[in-house]
Amino acid sequence: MTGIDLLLSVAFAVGVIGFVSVFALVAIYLERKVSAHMQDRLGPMETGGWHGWSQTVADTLKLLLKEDIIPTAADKPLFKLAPFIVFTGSFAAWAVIPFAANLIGADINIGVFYLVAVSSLGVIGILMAGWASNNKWALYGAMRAAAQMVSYEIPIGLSLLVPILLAESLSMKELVEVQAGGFWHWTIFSHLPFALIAFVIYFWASLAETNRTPFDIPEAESELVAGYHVEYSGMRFAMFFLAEYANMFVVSAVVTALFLGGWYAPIPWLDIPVETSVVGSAAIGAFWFSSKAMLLVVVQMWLRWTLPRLRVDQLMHICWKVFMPFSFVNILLLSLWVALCQ
Amino acid sequence: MSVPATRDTAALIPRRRNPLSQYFSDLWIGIVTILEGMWVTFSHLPKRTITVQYPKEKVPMYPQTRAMLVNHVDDCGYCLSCKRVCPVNIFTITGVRADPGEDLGILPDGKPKKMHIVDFKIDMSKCVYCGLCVEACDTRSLRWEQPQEKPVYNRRDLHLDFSGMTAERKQELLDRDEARKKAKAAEAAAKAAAPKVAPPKPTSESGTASSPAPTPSDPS
Repeated sequence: MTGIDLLLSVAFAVGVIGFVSVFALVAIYLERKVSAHMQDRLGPMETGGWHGWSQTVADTLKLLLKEDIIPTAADKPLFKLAPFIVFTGSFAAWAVIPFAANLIGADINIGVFYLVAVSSLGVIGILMAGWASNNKWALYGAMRAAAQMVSYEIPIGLSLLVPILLAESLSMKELVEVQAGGFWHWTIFSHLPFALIAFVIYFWASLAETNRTPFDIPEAESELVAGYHVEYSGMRFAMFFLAEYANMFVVSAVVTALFLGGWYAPIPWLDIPVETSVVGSAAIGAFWFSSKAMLLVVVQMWLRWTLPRLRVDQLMHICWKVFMPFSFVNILLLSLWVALCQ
Repeated sequence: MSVPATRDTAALIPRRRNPLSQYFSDLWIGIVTILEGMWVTFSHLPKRTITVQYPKEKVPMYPQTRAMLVNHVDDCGYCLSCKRVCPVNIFTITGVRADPGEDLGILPDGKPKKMHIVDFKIDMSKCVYCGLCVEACDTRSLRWEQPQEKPVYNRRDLHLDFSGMTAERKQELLDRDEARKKAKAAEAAAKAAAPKVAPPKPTSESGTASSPAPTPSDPS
């Protein structure tokens, strides 16, 4: 690795940190507004003047200034470490997200594999948080999170195999590049039945991965107060929050890259090829990629404010009795189809 | 996708004998009801919100709302019905009789107003909002009004005064009343003293000393 490469990597990492922070601010504001209007409310309206646009900025400042309380009975080193592990898990995944043809942190040849591996790191942090808090609600939440996230890794992995099988690659860049040339070439539309099922299963299971409603039993307010982060306050709590929203974007980005054509515009002539302009191509690619991912983030919010929380048994039922057989049959039929027809 | 407002959800799920067809049926209903729910939440997005941004926009109160007692002192005839009927005794009313020639206007019930209302204090901090005083008021001068809010920093600020007079004017009227009372007392004393002298010459004595004395001295 040359010095320039190193510099570029660091610049990308810093840029992503900035993007994650800004995205979290916007997404939290958006979530409050979306939820409010779905319930015929208005949401925050005062802070910052126009429709309370700076509410989340003010909240962040508040969280920065709050006292960082560590319970006496807590396992202090683990307690302090846990939020950073959770955030690292979700932040590391950004390295392989292909924002544009030439805007990707690390185009490693096992991109998807790395992503699945790294995103399950979060569950260790959550378990640490729950255990170290020395609080029964936190521990319950952490155990639920572990059970849920480990279970849903399997349908996620199986449904991710569908685009991998079609692109014959694990590299995020190549997975996107096979979808070039208009929205009818996107994986979700080009192999409709298989890819659509895989898309739905992945998107649905990713809600469980990010611990969001309807799969938010790890932090079920009415049962566990706040789950694994019940004892956290101030900036450490903010890290969990940031990780949740970073994760939301990551799973949406994966769906975008693998199923919805990544950085490609829906119609080919809206793209700027790398040969024409390096910066223009990166900008327009990042625009399309982020737009698609943001749309999916909004759908996640939409689902959150529509569906009630599942019971633990229903959660496991959906995972093991619905998603698993469907993704197995899906991948088998697709393999057969690929083997016979291609 | 359109469904009646109320329904039995259990009845919606068909029961089948075959477990496999039950499985697919449940799955299908799951998908359909999720989409249905998403449509419901989506349909609320563009709807008008029911939130009222309170200090900026206010919902008008009903005319019957018992919010704040207000006395329109020009219509008040000093009958003291309100004070008499009040169960918690929140009224402090002082009146000064008008001079014979003084015109204070006509009350809503058609009679001339005879009293200056020097003091009409209502202690709203004690009010129980029973509304008896408003019902008792013959001239409808005491009414409920609907200010949206009346926050005060000091409990004494809830002692409302409706006399609409400056302190000087009040003092002036009270002094006048005092003077008149003194004159009356003096006259009574004179009257009490007089009878022993009066009987022999009733017409001339009473005419000069007692009866004309209060009336001509006062006219304004």
